[in-house]
Amino acid sequence: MTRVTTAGLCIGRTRERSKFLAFVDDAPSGAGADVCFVRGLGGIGKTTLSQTLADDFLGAGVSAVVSQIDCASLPAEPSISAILRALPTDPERERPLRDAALLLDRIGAAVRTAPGPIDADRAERDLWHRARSATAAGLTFFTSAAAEQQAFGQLATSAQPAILASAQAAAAAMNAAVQIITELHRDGKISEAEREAGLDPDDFVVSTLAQYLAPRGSDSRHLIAFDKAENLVGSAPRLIELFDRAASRAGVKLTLLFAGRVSTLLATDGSLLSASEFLRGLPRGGLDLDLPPFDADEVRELVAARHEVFHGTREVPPVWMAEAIVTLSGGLPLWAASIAETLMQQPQPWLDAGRVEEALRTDSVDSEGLVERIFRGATLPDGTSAYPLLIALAISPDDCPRDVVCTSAGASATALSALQDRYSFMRGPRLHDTARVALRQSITAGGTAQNSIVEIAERLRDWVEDTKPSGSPHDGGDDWTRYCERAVAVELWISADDGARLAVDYALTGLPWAAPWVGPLFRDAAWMIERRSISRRTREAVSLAARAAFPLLIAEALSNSERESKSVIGPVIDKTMGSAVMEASLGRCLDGLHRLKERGSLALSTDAIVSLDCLRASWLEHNGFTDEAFELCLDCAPRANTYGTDATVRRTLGRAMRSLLETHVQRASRMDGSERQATEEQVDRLLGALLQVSPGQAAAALRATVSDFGLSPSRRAVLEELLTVRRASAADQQLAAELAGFLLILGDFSRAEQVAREALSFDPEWLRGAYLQARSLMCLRRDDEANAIIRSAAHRAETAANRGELTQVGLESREGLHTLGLLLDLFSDRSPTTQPAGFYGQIVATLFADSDPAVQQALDPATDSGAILREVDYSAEACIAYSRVGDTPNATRSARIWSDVLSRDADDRALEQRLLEAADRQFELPTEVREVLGLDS
Amino acid sequence: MIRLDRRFLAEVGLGRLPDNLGEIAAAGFYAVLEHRVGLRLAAGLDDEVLADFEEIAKRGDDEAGMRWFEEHVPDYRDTVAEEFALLRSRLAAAHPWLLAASGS
Repeated sequence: MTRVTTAGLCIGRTRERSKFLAFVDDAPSGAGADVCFVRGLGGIGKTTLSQTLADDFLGAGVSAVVSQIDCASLPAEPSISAILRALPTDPERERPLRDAALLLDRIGAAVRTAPGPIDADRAERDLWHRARSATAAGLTFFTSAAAEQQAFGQLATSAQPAILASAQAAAAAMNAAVQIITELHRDGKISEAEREAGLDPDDFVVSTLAQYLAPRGSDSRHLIAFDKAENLVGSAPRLIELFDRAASRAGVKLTLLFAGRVSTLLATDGSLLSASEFLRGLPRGGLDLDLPPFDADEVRELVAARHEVFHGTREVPPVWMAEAIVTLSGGLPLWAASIAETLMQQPQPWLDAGRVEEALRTDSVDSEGLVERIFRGATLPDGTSAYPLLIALAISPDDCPRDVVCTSAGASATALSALQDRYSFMRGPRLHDTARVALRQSITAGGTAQNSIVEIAERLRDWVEDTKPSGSPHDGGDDWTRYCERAVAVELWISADDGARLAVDYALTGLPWAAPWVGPLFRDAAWMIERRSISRRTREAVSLAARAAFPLLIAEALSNSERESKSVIGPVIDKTMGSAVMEASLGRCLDGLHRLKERGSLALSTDAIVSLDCLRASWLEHNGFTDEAFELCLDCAPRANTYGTDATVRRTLGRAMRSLLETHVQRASRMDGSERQATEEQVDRLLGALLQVSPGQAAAALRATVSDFGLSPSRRAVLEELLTVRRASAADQQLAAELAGFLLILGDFSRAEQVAREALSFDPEWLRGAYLQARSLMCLRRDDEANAIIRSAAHRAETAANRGELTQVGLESREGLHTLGLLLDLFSDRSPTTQPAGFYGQIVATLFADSDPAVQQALDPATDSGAILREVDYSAEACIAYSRVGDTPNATRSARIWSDVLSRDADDRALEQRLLEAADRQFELPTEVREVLGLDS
Repeated sequence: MIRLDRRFLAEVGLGRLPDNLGEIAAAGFYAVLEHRVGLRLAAGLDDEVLADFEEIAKRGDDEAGMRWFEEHVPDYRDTVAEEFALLRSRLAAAHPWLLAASGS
């Protein structure tokens, strides 16, 4: 167990220490967890008191164990597996903790990579992949309703009231979690132990923690101290609940101590509570230690203690000096101690009252000057200045290794530990958070970069460049997020101008897909821009890019952690992007950035230029500037193709190109002669380019093109090329669905069946694929095979529907499968065993029903079915209906329309032909009708 | 009554934002508020109760919607007020860099 030694570190706070010991002694009898908060301003001494309370706990005369966790070393709102790994212990107890954390992570990873849900197309699938990712995160985090909603909140859209969206998402995700884990176990991808842990992670975690807390030897009490607990505002209540259950199960009296800036907590029911309200609501109560600033007596104690550290003897300063320090520091122990330390170059500095008074004069020292004086005066034990190392600590990224920080400042690796021993503004090998903020503000106060700071930052930049991921930012991923943020942060210290331009470059690059680094980059760049002067051109570029990305800046402003930021970006974008206000603003900003680039005023990387052009093409297309969009799309396509097929920038351009192509097709329908021919040529050029950018979009666009312009040799070549591409990416469901649908229309049923079948082999649950394969087989008159597919898929769809798992496209596919099942029954002259689904299914069922009046009613022009049966597209169905009610003239007329109008899709005609044959077998169509339809032959 | 107007923007330090950015800030604020309130209100309700609300929402019956809120989440105003205060404080804290970044 980790034991802390803080004797002598803590000054004053006697009242708080007494309260804490009384709280521990008077805690309710019986096993369970008691909770204490140590709260207050930054620099008030929370960490120091927390460590002292841990010592007091150990020294209270009762055998006890203390464990401490520095939450600053964990991500914000850490996963439960991260907490398990962070719990300090002996090797014997460490193993089960690590095994449990590994198991939770393994289940999370298995869920994250599990095959997609029962669904219909790629777009809808993307949503569910996000749900599964969130499920995976939830498994390693918490399973309570509140936490799940935090995790799954990203699914909520503001297109509908969030209350519904979030509830549906949470319910669906809870079902999804159980389903995914059960399926993974059934498929042998996770063990029985993992299945049990995954289905009830709460119980699994409680068992693990109980094992960890189980008393050994004479240990009868356990304290776990969480420092920097502001990282746990959302998760502390859940942690407390789990630890309380674990302590009860282990029969241990546990004290949980949370030290940090904890003012409000997110309770497990989702409500926000103040810390004191939260403690009052706990069954066993709690202790709230809200620390006040020091008074002059406590500062005298503090100075005496610092004197002992520097000179080996404890010397108490006079009251006047303590009062002056209180005035200057506001009674915050961090600054009071730091001010005292600046005076400790010689023993008993107050003997030279003039020097001390000069140093502590408040009328000549502003806060930044004071901070600079504190840090500039800091020295290492050999008397050399510690200032360069403190600068390196202040400006280096949080995750920069400490040896790199030391090297960048030209300091030895041991310098950090020496600083830690001497100065109160150090917290371990880092600066105290409050001190770091103050130093960063202080060194930017001058408005221009100092050479010493630039040199340190340049060395840090070497490290940043060593961590640069391979590929391009368009690949996305956490590595690129970390790199972009580090690179800009360090560059800003070298040159505010260069750093701001780098921020613009990376922000533009990630803008097409709302990359997670966009908001943070503007936040960091703006912080520096506020303090340092930059060129007018750079300021203009930052302003234009920030305005183009303004919704992402708002999302960043309204979230307080990376996790939360991800959950709010979706609603903000849904609400703002696409609005008339944003559209107008976006157009101006993108044009402005383009002009700056063209004039040579803004140097952008190739990655950023591709993103900018894709965004401009999309905007131009969306706002009706089709000629400009056309040229830009063709120009941009080859450059976008240099990125991976999954790169979002290609999707952005692909959507714009498809939409542009469809607009051209629509326009051409109102043209003739050379004008139409010219537009057709433009469409073919776009189609060729789109084929390279996004085969899925090209397949959809090909369909639109052929329906208006016909299947020319060049378009047939595009089709064959798409089929070749499809073979290389047979699992691409969007492409497979588009191609199979298109081949069905063309009447190439064999290849349609093959495309659907091969895509289904990668995901047998894919409902739309099952529908397309079954439809192809029915057109080929291979009814037995179609029947097997329909029954199996329909069963899966029903089961899924009961779990609320089907998306809108999935529901449509389920309806289509039901209709195909109904047709199969009719083709086989069986009474329908499938309930009719959808409007078309109901009409067909009526046409073959026993009741003639029902058919008569279906033909009533006042009804929806009557109106439909008068349309050309439903002439086969109308022919059957009129035949059944004895209206031979209209039946013959409908039959003639069906025979003569050949523009219908080939698969529709094939199935209608079979429907007419079935009707003839069952009801014997009139002779005139049979002749028109050629049924005799 | 929550009003996300120029006065609100001025109170959080964003009064200098041009109209279009102000509108986007307000719309984004509203989206996050709606999202967070929705999450919290849905937390304690079972599927059946939520299904009732879904039906009411589909019908667009505002009066029935208000009755539903009063019956099932009578303290919803407190929830909205708490979330509003939290987000308002975050936006106010971020106003210097939002203005600096956008050049306002």
